[in-house]
Amino acid sequence: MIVLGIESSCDETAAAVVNDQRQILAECLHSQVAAHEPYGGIVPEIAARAHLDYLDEIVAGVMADARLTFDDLDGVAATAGPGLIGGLLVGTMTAKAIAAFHGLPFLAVNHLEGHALSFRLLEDLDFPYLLLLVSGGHSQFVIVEGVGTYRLLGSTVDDAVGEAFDKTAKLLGLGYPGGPKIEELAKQGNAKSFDLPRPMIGRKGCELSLSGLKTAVRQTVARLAGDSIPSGDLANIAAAFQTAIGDVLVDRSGNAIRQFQARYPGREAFVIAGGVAANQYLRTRLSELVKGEGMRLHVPPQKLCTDNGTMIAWAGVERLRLGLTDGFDFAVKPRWPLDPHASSKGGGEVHS
Amino acid sequence: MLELDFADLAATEAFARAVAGLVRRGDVIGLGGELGAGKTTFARAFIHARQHGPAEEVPSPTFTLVQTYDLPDFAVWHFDLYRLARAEDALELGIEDAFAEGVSLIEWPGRLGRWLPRDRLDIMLTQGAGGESARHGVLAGHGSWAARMETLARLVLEADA
Repeated sequence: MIVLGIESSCDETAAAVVNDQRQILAECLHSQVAAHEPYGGIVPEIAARAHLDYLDEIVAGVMADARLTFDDLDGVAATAGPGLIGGLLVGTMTAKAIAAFHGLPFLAVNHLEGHALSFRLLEDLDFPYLLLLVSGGHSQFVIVEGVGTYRLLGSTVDDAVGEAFDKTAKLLGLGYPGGPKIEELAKQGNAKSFDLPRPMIGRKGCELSLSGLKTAVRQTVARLAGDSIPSGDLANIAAAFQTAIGDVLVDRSGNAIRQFQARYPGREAFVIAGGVAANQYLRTRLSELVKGEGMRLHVPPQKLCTDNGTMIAWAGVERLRLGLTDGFDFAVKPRWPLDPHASSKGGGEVHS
Repeated sequence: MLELDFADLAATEAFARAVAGLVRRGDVIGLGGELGAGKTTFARAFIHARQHGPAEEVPSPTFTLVQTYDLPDFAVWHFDLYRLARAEDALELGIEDAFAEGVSLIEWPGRLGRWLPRDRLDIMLTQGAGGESARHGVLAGHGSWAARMETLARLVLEADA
């Protein structure tokens, strides 16, 4: 079984071909982030036009790399949400057109499901498992109970973790993307030099709230601001910020693990996905926690953690195996929660 | 122009609810202020005020640039144009539909350049004196909003009481 997957929900235009033997036959990604780093945090070309410019070439490229024709495929998958509507339309229309022309099933994949299932492309990981999805646009704890069955334990009520990194980097005058810049700078800093808040710590549930932390960074920077902030202080703020995020994630993850273990005693897999999973400091902090709770940490390699087409193709394989195909009338969903039953306030007590 | 001081988060949220009580279809509100000034906090309280039933999640729209909310009286389009590089790119986010039929809350409105509607309420939030959660708000009504500033001032006072 071979599936072509297309991802175009935000800044990345990507496609990949994956089979049900867990082989990546070809993958290609065009990111608009690197090209615009000099602009310091602003990512231009959000328009559908950019995806349109690249997608045909990328799809043709992965098919050629895989040495396949469209008739060799068993299905075509595309991210149908959540994301920017223009990009979603470009991706799904391309996938639908290929599927319709070649008489193949179309699979509408939730971008978050792509992240949620990505580790299963690497090895045989049974359901259920606990997932922490942390990226620039999303931060949530989810129990992955099966393909298409997700139980939200809690999510951020304001800023995503990656967004907090990006905005803090911006406040500190560092470049974009903020995650790697802060992680690097934090190595030279003393986290105890500045006292930053740890929102939500000690409260029950698994919700995150990072807007206040961002504001505290701004206020700290404002207090220091003369003409310029000494680089030592910048490193100290970066370290204090990253440590605060680590403390918050450890606290929230602890609650998520307890909820998961109460529901599924003996299950021990904790998966981190999303671009923030690349942060080594946070990985180490979470790894210590997870070990202490008797669970095992699984983190996909970075290229599978950031947005990519491979995880969409793989989610397509997972759905196709179960016959979960979609009609050509499937409308894209700019907002599309993984767990449609979760109450908006989450908080971990959402289902009984 | 109207200047207001909000002692804490609750006061800023009460102010957002007061503004929400006044808006009608087609209104545009520009939310100014630096990172962490409280623009999204304002938008969240505003959207919650116009919802019936349980509070819907109002995540930061920085990543997706826009989030829309189909509320009972109108759709609210919550824009965060921080990442927008070229004003004309906003056309592909649906600003024309938003301005015509919805209520628009726009963070980083300056990024819209000439596409920013003349008829709008600008709210600039800055750090206030007295406490880290204190905020200072400067309101400027343009176009039809000039005539509505008096009503707004009264609503804000009532909300404060």
